[in-house]
Amino acid sequence: MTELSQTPSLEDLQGWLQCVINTRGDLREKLCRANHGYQLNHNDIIADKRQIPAYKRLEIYTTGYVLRLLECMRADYPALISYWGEPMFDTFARAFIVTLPPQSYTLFEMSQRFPKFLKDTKPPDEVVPASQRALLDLPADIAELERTQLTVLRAKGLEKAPPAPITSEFDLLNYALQIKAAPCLELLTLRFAVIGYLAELANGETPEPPPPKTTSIAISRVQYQLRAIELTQWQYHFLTISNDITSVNNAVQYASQHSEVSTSQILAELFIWLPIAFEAGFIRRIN
Amino acid sequence: MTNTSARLGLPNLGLGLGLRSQHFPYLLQNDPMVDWFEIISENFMDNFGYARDVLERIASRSPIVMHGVSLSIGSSDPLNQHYLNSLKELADFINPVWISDHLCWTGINHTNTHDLLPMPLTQASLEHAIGRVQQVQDFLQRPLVLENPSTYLEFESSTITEWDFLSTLADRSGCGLLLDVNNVYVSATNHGYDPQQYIRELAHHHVVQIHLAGPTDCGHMLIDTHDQPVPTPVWQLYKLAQELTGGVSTLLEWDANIPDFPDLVAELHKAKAVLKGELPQVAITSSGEEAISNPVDFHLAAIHD
Repeated sequence: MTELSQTPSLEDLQGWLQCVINTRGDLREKLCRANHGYQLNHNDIIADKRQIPAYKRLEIYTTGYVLRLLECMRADYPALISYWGEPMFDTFARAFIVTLPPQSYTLFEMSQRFPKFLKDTKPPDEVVPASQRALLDLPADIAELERTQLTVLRAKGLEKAPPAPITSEFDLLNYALQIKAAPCLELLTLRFAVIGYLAELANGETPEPPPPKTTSIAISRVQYQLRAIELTQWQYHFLTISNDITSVNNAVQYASQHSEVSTSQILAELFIWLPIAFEAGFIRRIN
Repeated sequence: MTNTSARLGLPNLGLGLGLRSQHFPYLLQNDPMVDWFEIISENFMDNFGYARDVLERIASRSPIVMHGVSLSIGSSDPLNQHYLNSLKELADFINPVWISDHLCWTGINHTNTHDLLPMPLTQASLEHAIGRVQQVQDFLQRPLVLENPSTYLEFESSTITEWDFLSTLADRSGCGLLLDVNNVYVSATNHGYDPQQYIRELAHHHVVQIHLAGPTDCGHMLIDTHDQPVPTPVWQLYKLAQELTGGVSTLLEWDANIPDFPDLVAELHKAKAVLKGELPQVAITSSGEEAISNPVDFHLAAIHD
């Protein structure tokens, strides 16, 4: 058999089909847009077999596309579903899917931009009564924490190379001790204290939504189990500088400069907090 | 790169199952009762969490095959070098017996639909696929194995049958074939051709592996849902394929509503009876609900464990 000279190119056929699958609207609107954009017609492109019309065949791909990605979104954000309820969540998730089609080869990254999408599509504060603004800010915070937890679970951790332990109180007084943040450590600053809220939801409870409160959080893992702890401002900056190898002394100086907490105050609190930070897998000792 | 020996000289691994995270606790404490495992490559690429730790432990005692869903060998986009780098990193880590993916495309213009989309089966597509398979094989330094997808539409412009397309692709690029007999049955039903003819006319010596699965009858078409027992017509095709190939590795896919591991083993082991001529009498499940082709449960579980 010879190919017709008018045969659409592979690039055009794929562009056309992808447009049908992931463009906005119902199937009729999708076909209109794809047919017009590529100067093709679905009835000429799709082979007529078994008297099943082209639109029925295309519907399997268009429906499957959304449902498949929606399932991923639901799995990625269970706490947000608990907060919103599934119908409301699905509305935002479907809007996200059609606005920002997946680009990565892995489904893990599919919903990575969802927290930012929620922030970007929120009505501006000036059109929302002050009493209701928190209601619109909380979903993005919940989404951001859930997303970050997933990232921590897949990142490189310390399980394969456990750090040298803190063996004595002398270690904690050794301010020349070299430390470095765990590769899976993530730091967040959110507008709500959502750690406890998510934990209660995960336990099957129905907690009241948290009130607004600017909160810094460290999230890491130990033996593949998540650890998330609220931080004071100096602790946040202490961990930030530890992203590169540094000494305890240097991290204290940095934390003091950025938090307006005196070094003596930090050193006093460090004696209690440093073991917690090691135990939670936030940092490891290098020497 | 060509290899004229049967199965590319690769072994018949016997009966295997897809490694799914739902079964990790069971597998870490029990005899796997299967000869080998197939992983979804993308579940473990760029993933340094618990799933990879379990994979390493299981790979130390069972052969592993890597099966991908995002290579997009048929796309008109350039090959994704980031993807290939991650694939190779995983292959170097786990040392799989072989690496497979699908004859399909997943997206263009840097989009990934996460579906296995059909190609127009033309001479131009064939030349395009041959060139890309060779690029991938050169990069991975090993032959690629490609699977026939389930399809719900065919292009009017197609001029080559799928079995001829795959046979020529394998002949000219040196790749192997993963014959999914369920996909053959699904596509043949949806497009009105003879599934037995497909299997008889495929170049058998290139077949490295067979996939088994159960579809769902959605009224006007069959959907490849991977969530049902293998029905009798698919077992018949399996028997025919094993007779024609002389025996190749068999893998049962079950990717949504995943049963307990021992139940999956029981379903897989029906293959032994089939080869003796005892065909299970299993009807195709019908559903009036929307069914999802290429389900993602296996991805979700891997992501969240």
